[in-house]
Amino acid sequence: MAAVPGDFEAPGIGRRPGLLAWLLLAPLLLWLGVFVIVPTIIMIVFSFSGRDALGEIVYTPTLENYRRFITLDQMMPVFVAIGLAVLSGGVAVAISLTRWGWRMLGGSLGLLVPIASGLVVLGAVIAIDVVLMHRFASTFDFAKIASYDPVGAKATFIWDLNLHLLFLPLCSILGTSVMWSLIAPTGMEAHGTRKLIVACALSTAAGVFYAGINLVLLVHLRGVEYESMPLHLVALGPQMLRIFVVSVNYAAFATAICVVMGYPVAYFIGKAPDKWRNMLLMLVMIPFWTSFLVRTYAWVTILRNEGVLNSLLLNLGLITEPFNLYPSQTAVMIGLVYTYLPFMILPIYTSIERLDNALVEAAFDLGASPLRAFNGVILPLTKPGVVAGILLVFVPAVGMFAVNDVLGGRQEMLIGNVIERQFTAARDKPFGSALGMLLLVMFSITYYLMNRRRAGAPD
Amino acid sequence: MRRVNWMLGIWGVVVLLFLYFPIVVLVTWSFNDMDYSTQWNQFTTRWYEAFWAKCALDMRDWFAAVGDRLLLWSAGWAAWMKMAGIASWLTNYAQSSPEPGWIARQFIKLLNVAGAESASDVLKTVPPQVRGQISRLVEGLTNSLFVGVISTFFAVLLGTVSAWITFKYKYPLHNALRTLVAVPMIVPEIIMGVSLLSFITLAGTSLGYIGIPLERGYLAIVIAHVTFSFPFVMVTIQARLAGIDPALEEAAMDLGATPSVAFWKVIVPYLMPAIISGVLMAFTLSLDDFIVTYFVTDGGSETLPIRIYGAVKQRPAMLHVVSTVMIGITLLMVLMSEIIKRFNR
Amino acid sequence: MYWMKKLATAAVAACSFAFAGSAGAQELNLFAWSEYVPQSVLDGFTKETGIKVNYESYASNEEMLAKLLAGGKYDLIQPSEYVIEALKKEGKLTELDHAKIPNIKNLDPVFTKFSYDVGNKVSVPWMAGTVGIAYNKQKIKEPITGYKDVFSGKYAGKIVVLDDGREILSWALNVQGKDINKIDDAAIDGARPLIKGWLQQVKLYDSDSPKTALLNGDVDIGIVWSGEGAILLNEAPDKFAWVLPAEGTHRFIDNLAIPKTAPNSEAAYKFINYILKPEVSKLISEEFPYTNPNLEARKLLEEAAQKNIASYPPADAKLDIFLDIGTAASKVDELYTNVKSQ
Repeated sequence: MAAVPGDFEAPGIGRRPGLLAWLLLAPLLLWLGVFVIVPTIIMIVFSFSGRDALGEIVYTPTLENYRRFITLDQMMPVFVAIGLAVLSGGVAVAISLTRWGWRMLGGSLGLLVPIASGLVVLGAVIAIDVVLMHRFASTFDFAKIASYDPVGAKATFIWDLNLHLLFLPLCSILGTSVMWSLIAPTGMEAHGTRKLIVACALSTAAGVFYAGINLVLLVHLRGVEYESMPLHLVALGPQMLRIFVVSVNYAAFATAICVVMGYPVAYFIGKAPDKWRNMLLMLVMIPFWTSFLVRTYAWVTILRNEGVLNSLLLNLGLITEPFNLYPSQTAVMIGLVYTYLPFMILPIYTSIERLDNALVEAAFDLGASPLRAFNGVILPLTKPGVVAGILLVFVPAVGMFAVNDVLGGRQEMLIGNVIERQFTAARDKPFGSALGMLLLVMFSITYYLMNRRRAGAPD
Repeated sequence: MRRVNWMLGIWGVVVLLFLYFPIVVLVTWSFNDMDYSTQWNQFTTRWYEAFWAKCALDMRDWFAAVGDRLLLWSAGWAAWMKMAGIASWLTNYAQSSPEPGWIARQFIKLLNVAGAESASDVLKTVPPQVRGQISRLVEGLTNSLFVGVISTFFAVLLGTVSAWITFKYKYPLHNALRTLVAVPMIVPEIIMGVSLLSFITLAGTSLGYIGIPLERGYLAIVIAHVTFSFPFVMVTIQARLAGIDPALEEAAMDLGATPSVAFWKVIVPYLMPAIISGVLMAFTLSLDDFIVTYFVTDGGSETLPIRIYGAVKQRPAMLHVVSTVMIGITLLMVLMSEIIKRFNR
Repeated sequence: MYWMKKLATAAVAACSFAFAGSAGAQELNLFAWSEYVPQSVLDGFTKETGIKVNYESYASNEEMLAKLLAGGKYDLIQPSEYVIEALKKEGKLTELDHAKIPNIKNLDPVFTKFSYDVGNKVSVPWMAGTVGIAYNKQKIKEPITGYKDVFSGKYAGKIVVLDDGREILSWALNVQGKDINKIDDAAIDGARPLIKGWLQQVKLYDSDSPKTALLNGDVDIGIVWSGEGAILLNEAPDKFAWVLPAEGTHRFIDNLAIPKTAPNSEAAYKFINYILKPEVSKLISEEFPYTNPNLEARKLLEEAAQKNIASYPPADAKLDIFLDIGTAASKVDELYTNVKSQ
């Protein structure tokens, strides 16, 4: 299972291709051309087309589909947010370039730096919010925010609320950690404009991400109407942006849990004695080999009101009222983590297996604490695995609509559901294609950046 | 350090429990004598009996329809492997016996013993809706296996050959090609699904005029599955190729082998472990896929995940049974691959 | 090498199995609602005519339209009344030749007079039904009479509703005493706050099988199809009750129709005629206890089934059918998406 994108760098023999070699390449080129490139082009064309009442495509060029989620006159405040994020990214790069910054990153303090800088960025975003709120104070009802009862209608279970409370610190820590760890090690070897661009792009992403989280928090937790939102948060057209951000958050949160849950397991397997290792790996893999829908469905049996978990707890006398776990956002989160956990464990395991034990022992011999050894030696060396794992979990999780359908009771629409709906029930293929393009562009940029960074970075 | 290891071990056990709890529930609940509800009632095997009855009936019909053509095909296979003597005998036999033929009759007899004879009666013991569900799920299962085998074959063929030639030759635009191959791996499935759907509705009708009817259905599903699984095969094989000695092929050719012989006798055996894991991976990906298939399937060709999705909100009993059977098939595959691995060693 | 060849031959063999299996047999591509056509009917049809039925399913009329218009090759579709009207307007349906379906005489005359297709020119009713309230008597003691009671706030987080924007909008319009078929910006804007308040109380959206959640105790009350309600009453008569909303509700009629693009319309005619046989139609009623439009079949049903109040609503109930609303449909969809994700 070396299925790690961008991780296959076979040097190759590199002979010059003759006629036969070109003929042998033809099937690959044809396949990719016909079934990957052409469909994508069709999707692009669709996204710029209209449709008639019954939903058939009308080939008149229009930007209408994109306007439904991006309008230029609303973009200005977004640029402000991006600018701020770029600035903070630049500061991050600058710090990582100094000797002081590097030393801090290598030591056990290094774990604190992303947390601290995450909080700083977060603080800045909130500060801007407050300023903007005051500008729109007439429409922004502080009393309503203070008195809103989140454990009301929609958040049926207190955990759903806690999930969102957890979002904020976790996402900021995760987002900034990723940002820092991506910048820092390459930062000192060479400084080039490319790295600065990469860093700024990443911090841009982080900034938009924070803005999104803010939006979700404001709406979800405090019940604020869109009309009274700070402007920079409504930029992308409120509904679609919100759906998009919620989807990304679901995926990001699931990814974060997968890292936290999966890393220790991968480490344990990777460092287990040889005779155990294969068996343990097999144990992790077997659930992954059964249909994910089947496994998702099993959670319905477990989580429903009169389901396995509730009957168990009721019979044991631990609770008196059943938990309302199905359908809920918590259930969706469990389903996502359960589906994608093996995708996280495997690549991390691969890189831990390659990890040279002598290096770890050397760190301990030199008197490093476990935390410092982890942060200074183990984590940097296994980072490719973690990055690959994040890609393998995050990318499919954003587009996943089936888990949400089965476990979420269709309460919340995720971007996957919306796209699926455009191609089935809503009969709006152009708009669905435009949303698909949004996802595609986002992932292309992510992948390109990751790949470039790795191709450029020494082993 | 030891304490850290202990904690890691406990955490590992917790995570494994998390991974296996749902599966245990599924397997246990497949013996639950309850039709609609998921509350535990009492132990029963009647769902399995009904499931097997349907399978046996289907298989019997299949054997009756296929007759001894089964033999004919194995004969063709043998002929291909140049074992001409037995092959011609087999071919003659299969052609001479009209269907269902002796061999097929033996199979039918066997199945009758195993339950097909009384199958209709067994099926009548479950509610009619459950009967309908069973036949839909069984059909889905066969579709899944069928699509899985075909798409795995093509994915492995395409992946292996492409990995080898891109390793051996340096084509212009090497990097662009590599990125392109990675696209199906990194693009979210839903995008691949909707773009293939658009492609099929648009190109399908126009290709129909030149005699290539591309519609939603088996062909479309196989194409989709090959598209998203061959890059994974390719990556696995490239990983193995990274460890190869480039002189290996040269040495074989120096000893007088032609390039094709060198490929089949030297390179392929060396790549065999990677090819086997590629086969497993492609097959699993194909069996597991829901999202891409969802967009390109039509009624008759729906695979098991689609059928499960359609049935998820209905009666749970049969779902548990089919899931358990799926898990069984998986375990069997894992065991087989382990045995093959041992054997190869 | 050995392995490769083995694999290759296995795949080729599997290929030829499949083609051998399907060669020669005539096929009927039926595109119908999920879990709405009994397996016994399909099997019986195949036995009688030798035609294999491919049953592809959908969960909403809109989904069916989308796939049909995406070039789906279906011989027989099963749209509801307002979709028949729209498809008829666009000329997408075959004019039925009644000489090929002699059993059409068995229909209840009521079902030949609805405005969407007077005289069954392009469609033949399959089953009809209503939308009503099913609730758990053991958990809900107060009397329930209409939508207002369901969404009074007392049952927040314990409600299942159909996952269908037009349906929910029609409930709101009924509550406001408006025409459910007059959908314009004013009607939508007027209904928005009401729907918004309602949807905040909903726990589960399910058009396929809302009864499962009710039976399993995930929810206590639901606004569901009458066939689902009838099954609930059959399964646990002492636990569930069925009420038609006093404000008025939607009567739907699902029909069989043959698209103009059908590759095998002869098989489709045979199927229509087959299901109109009383003894076959009875099978459908037994499994899916909606209102059976087939008078002869209704006589064959058991006494209890004929008296099920969910299947056969009282004659004085306030029922309306949906009419085609054209491009306003996308406005309804937008309203639904927006309200739902707030």
